[in-house]
Amino acid sequence: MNETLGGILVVADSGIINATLAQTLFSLAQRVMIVNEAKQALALAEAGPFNLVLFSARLPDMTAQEFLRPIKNADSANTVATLVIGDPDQDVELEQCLQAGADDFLITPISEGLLKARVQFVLEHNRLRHQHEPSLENAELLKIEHDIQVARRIQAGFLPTELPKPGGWDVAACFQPAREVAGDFYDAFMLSQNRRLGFVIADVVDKGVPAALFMALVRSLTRAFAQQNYSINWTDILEAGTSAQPFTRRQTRAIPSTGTMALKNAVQLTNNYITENHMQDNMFATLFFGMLDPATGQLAYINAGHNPPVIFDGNGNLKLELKPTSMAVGMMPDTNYSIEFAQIDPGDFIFCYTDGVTEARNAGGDFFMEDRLFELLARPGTTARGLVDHVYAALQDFMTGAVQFDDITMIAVVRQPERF
Amino acid sequence: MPKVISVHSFRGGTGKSNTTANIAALLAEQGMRVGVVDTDILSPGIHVLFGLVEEKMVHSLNDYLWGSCNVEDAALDITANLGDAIKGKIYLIPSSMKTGDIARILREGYDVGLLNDGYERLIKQLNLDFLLIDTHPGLNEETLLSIAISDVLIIVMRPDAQDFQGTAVTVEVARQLSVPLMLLVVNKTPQIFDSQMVKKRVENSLRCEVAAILPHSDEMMALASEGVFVMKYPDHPMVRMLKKVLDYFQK
Ligand SMILES: Nc1ncnc2c1ncn2[C@@H]1O[C@H](COP(=O)(O)OP(=O)(O)OP(=O)(O)O)[C@@H](O)[C@H]1O
Ligand SMILES: [Mg+2]
Repeated sequence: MNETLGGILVVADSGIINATLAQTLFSLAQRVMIVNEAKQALALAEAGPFNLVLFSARLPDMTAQEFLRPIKNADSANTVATLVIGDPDQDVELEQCLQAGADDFLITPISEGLLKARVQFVLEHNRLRHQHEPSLENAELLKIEHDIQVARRIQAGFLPTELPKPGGWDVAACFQPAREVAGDFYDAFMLSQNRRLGFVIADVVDKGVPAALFMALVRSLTRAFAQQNYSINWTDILEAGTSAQPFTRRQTRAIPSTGTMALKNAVQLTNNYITENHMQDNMFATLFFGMLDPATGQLAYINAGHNPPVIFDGNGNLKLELKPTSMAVGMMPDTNYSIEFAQIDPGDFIFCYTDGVTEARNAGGDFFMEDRLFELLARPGTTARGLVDHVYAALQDFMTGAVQFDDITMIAVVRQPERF
Repeated sequence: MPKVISVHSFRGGTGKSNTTANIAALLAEQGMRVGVVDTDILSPGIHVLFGLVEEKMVHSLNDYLWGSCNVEDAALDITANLGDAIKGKIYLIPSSMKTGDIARILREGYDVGLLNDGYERLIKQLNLDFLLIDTHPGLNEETLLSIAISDVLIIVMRPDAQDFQGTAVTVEVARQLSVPLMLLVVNKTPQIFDSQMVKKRVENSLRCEVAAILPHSDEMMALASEGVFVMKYPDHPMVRMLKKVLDYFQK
């Protein structure tokens, strides 16, 4: 049943619609207004749309027909269902109302079951009738279309307009939604007073507008949390391990080094927020967050269920796949996201992508697959832009004549070779 | 193997900064290369003991935390301020005394992880044998981090009921962080107290090694932070007691 459009407007005294019946109506619609007088009802109907008007054949301030006329006149698209209630001796009035356009009638005394069945029937009938009204559907579609365009513009604003490029490094990204709005995003920004490059790629496990809204949330939270200086978590420190060996203790990974708290907070606090506030939406995002020290090439990262980013060396060899270290963001409350480390040497690059790349399909229905991607990536000495564009061109070639099913997002971070 | 030593107390004014400066001087006297970091960013002070005037502070720890210099750029060689007897080196990394800088720390905070990396870099760049960390009283972020990475933790306390309770908290935290060596220094002990009794009482209640029972000293009071005690009064009995503390981690 579709109760979301407007609601139910009732014009009848409590002798007809008693508390129990009112309760029944409240269970059928999100908005139910009950008034005694027809004038009041007309004012309400004018102010906002209802999808059902339930009225008594015996109104205190006008006849039922007089009441019905303006309701019908205002409803040129015929979206408001009308249901008249009469006593057993009022068959004449009821008949007149039906002629004047009322959809159906009820005879007092009304039982709960009957009221429910009749209301549902009238609403459903109305809904079905409108499914076959093409003019209305087009108008609605146009409106949706317009809204999606707006959403697309807003979403584009969530992506960084300019990517940071710390000295000796080169960063580029590509973002191609499957529909007008996407559930993927990428981000890159400097942290810890320009000492670290943070970069993120994420994929919300859903598509279309809901995924886009969720993406906006996850993206905003990760960035905001990463840029706060949060207190050391006691439990983090206490995790620091029990090795009694002096000095090596300092290398224990649970002890924060530059940027690692930002990294951990960004993912963990985002997960906490989502699992606390949006658990019922059943939405989650796979997310990779890298925290790079541009001076040394050391990369601290959290891979929350995202397909592994890859590091290629200067000779075009696949050096490392950064496998997931934990569950996706938004799946489980209190997930502990542990940090892993990798090294990006001069001439190496790291390439992150969403599964829209490897799961792109050609006209024959074949997947693009990792092998094709890795083959494309095995080309040393390319700029970040060159890499991303190269892969995207190959994808477009591959998908000729086929539909893009999933969002395609990539980000490449290239460390320039050392010059001697 | 270089060692990191944190000097901490639960309550303020126990003698952390003086203890840190004295230990630094004694180590440098032996020829060690010593770094001293003032992580008491909110109420810095140890630079006074080393005779560093504010104008000489080109950079401070704050500048490093805010990204305007490398941590070693904030290190000042203050060996000469302590007299000729010193064979080694003492480098001080002071915290800024500017009101605006302190306010900024309160307002914005900073990435505590920078401290960990900074300590490591100092040891490497200055080729240190010892890195001493003077801390803010109580448990806060930089203190927790400093304790967590220390090879030696020296907890300074007075023989005072409030200090006892607070120190118990610090000892417990340090235990959980499994600091390899934890030492208590009881300071400002009234001359009328029997130091052996005090030592027993502290060891019994806190279950932790007491490395020294230092008396309350009028000379120290009179010095009023205008110098490093062990350099000014090399023959004072307190110097011998402080040297004994070094034995715990210098064997
Ligand atoms: N054994 C002692 N006898 C007498 N006075 C002492 C003794 N030890 C320290 N003092 C004095 O106590 C005061 C505080 O000492 P100090 O600054 O070293 O303490 P602190 O623990 O670093 O203080 P804060 O918590 O404020 O950093 C100084 O004036 C110092 O001269
Ligand atoms: Mg002090």
